[in-house]
Amino acid sequence: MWSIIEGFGNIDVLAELDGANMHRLSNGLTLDVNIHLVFDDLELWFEEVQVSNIKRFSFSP
Amino acid sequence: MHRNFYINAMTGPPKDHSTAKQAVSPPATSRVYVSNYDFLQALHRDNYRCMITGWVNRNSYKAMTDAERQQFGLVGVFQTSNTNFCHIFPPSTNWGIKPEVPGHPKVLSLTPSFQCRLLILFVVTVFWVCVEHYRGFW
Repeated sequence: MWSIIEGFGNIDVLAELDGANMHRLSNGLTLDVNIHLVFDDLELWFEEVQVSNIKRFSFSP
Repeated sequence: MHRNFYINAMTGPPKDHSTAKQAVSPPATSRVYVSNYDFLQALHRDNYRCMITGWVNRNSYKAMTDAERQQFGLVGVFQTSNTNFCHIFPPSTNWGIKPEVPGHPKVLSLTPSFQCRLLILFVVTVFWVCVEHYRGFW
């Protein structure tokens, strides 16, 4: 699990997302409740783009 | 009283459970605990809008004065809705992991309910294997 996350975004789970840090501002975003459900169901995801530190959203077809 | 008041008045996230419980956020569909402070901070940063649809958080908009609506560009015609603080990496990412214990596996521990489901699945599987095996004898 940690390796996947670290490989995805160079994120050290223990250092950056431990305990209360899980709710840090950079680990969340404001979403409509229905879009939130779609995101939880993995039908909406981030994709890396060429611009540094930028991710874009993608929907499943 | 507008939510910005709370953002400015609070000095940081709640430090203990009782403080956090008093500031729990209202979204009904949120699946995990998120303090009101985190939720308000995210709303403020995201300009009170859903980052996908651009729809404006209904409660925030209703609580704002006209001046605040102007300040955040919430004028004209737009859709409003209920919004949540959505975790990019969910809190379950760290559940059951005990890094302070030497040699503790870096995997999620199974909850009792999930263990129970696995046990039921195992029993049902064994039952059907037996049924298939002894079908010719019955």
